[in-house]
Amino acid sequence: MSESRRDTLITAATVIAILAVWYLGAALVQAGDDPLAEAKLPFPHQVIDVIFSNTGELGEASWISLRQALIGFVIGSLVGIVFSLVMAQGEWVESAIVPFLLAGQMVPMIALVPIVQNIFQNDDVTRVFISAFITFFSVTVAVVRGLKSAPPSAYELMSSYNTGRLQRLRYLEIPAAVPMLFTGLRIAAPLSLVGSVLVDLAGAQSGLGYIMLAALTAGGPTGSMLIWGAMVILIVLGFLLAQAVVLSERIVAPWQVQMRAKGA
Amino acid sequence: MNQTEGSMAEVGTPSPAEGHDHSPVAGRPAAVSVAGVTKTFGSGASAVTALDDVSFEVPQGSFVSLLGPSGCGKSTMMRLIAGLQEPTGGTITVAGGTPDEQRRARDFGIVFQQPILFDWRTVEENVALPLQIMGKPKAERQERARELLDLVGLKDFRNHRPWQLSGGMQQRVAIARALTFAPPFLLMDEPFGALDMMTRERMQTELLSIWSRNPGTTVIFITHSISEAVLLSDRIVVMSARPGRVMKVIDVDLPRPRTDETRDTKEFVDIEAEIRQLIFSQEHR
Amino acid sequence: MKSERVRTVVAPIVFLAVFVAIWQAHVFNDVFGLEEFAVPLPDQILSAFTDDSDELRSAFGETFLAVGLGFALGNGLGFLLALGLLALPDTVAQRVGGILGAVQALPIVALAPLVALWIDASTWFKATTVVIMVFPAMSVYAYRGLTSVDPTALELARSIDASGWQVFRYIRLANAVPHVFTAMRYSVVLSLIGVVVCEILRSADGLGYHIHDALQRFETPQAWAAVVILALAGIVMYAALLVIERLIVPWSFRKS
Repeated sequence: MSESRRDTLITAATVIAILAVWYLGAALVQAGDDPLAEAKLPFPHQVIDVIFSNTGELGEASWISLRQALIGFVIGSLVGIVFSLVMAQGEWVESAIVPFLLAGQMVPMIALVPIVQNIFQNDDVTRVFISAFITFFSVTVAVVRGLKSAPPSAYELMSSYNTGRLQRLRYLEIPAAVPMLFTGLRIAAPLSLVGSVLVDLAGAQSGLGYIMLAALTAGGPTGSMLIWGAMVILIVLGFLLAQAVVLSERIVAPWQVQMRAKGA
Repeated sequence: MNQTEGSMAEVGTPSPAEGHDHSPVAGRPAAVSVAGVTKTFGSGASAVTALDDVSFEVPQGSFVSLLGPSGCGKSTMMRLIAGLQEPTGGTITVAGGTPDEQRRARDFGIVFQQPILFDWRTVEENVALPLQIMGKPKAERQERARELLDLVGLKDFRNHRPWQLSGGMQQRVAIARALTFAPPFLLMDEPFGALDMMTRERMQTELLSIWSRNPGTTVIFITHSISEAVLLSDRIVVMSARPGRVMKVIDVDLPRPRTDETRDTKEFVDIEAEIRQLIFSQEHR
Repeated sequence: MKSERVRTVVAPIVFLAVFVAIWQAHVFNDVFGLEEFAVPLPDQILSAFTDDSDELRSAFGETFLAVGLGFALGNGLGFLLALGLLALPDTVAQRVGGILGAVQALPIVALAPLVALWIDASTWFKATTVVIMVFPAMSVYAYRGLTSVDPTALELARSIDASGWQVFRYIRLANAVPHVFTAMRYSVVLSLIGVVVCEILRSADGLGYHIHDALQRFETPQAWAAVVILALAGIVMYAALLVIERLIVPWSFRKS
């Protein structure tokens, strides 16, 4: 038991150390004359205070950003899965598209936001589209890799059972792809929230990003502190989304979790 | 979950009269005929000849080993017989037809060096996989899978997951799976190669036991271990390094059933020595 | 196999050609009911490169000055941090590494408004955002590279009485190179995102601003042209890093 107790102690010590550094830094920054100093690096308790003083506004904005992100996440995942299955049907199809999938991941999503906004002229639709777009890439790349992750001997085995392509997909490739699918989903979940917030940053009139933006421009010290509140919520939500994916993997494919725990 | 070996006692030792054809191997009809088979990979300057004019016969219901050093093409030979690849030259006849025909008729149960069990299936579901693909109803699949797990001594582990089992146990599951649909041919590609020496020797005697309970099954076994080949086989096709050629075909007349004690008999040691000399002389040419 | 190589090269080219042809033929606009001001045609985008090339060129310069600065500083800082971690006792370094890993998973982009509070100067604002986004990943990867050395190699070094500096230079550093390059490739996208977010946020200069501005002026092809430049730049940077890595450490390209 002493190993896990030692771990807990070390984690506690780390948290305390971080808080200490934070307090020290905030004290240093706020010691000067800068009127915005409080907003630049507030004390932890000030951040908590900001969050609880503005629950209504922050809550509403969070819900807007989150809701669209979730819709986009679901759409992007479904489209990505279907797309991967289609691509797996033909080697030529796959060879043709995979380079563009990889190249597509190189495009900074934020650059597309104004363009997409220009097309749809609607903040909500843009958020869903961007979130779906980000999720689509992550999921498709993951599933395509997962579908091909079975060892060659497994294919020989299936060949000895005289399986057709569909049977191979059903009995071998799709189950083999499930772990990678969840990896892709776990990465995409917080990113789709980020995408939704990016839309706000790029000029939407609501959402967490809008609060950050408004706090930045309008501001003053108390207003600017709202940035921290929004940021903390964003980070926490992102973390919770990733955990939600991990949890769903535990439900859908419990053996994967057990395997990893065993180090298999 | 502690990975204890399944009880060996459950497998038991076969009785001599147990359904096993003890007629001399050479006198039986050939189940597999390999005639002048050549296999080259690639073309032009970078072509690699894996097999060069290989010929031998596998009698019905016998245990034949392909023995040779790594890279002598014996794994390739097995895949040619199984219809997984096509020879570049020569012919292979399996049970009167081409390897591909028999593959489609699901004549081959294959065991690889890695167990290749599916993590997302339980042990029982893994064994039942071929039957499920063939569309057998669930009750029938389950019954047959349990029968085979019993045969390999893993009856109590049917609801376990593959990674909870040791290497030897996983291979036993793979063997059970290969026998599920009672194929006439059992093809094994260095199935015990990934196991430690002691487990390996245990698995060898166990394989003989399992085989004796599935009389009539023709086994083609790939190995680079001389003692393994001598212990298990009726016939050994000794092959040379790349390009793979047949050095000699040796019929092993040791009586069955063979056990651990057989390893210590004079006849066994003599045959081993003969093969070792053969391979040694080849290397020093 | 030869036919496989042919396929890998030809298939995407054919796909691209067909895609562009369909696009140019107005098909996407018709099918989705989109005006040309929303989705311009390829030839319009191409002419945007030549027509207003001055604006585009200066925007490119502004953006990539910040990208280069942030990329270099961020990766450099990350590497130095990894070196620093090497000097710390194992347990502490592991903890810090864990924290950095967690930081890396956070939506760092959201820090852009925060950085805006601190820094006014446009280029430094962008570069700093990039540095914050990039250095955690690099420090984690570099640290892993410096420490994931085969213990047998270290034993061998001890047995021939190699000095600490020799161990570092010949074993740890060499081992770290592939990890460092992986982190750098990963940071290419992050740098681009970071800079463009800042540009769109602060509407100051650079390609991000250019996109926003062009759309305001209904010059959609200009905006699309800017996106194309960003995408191509990202691909080129990524490919360049691959090439450089192959030149420096050809042995790390064994098929694993």
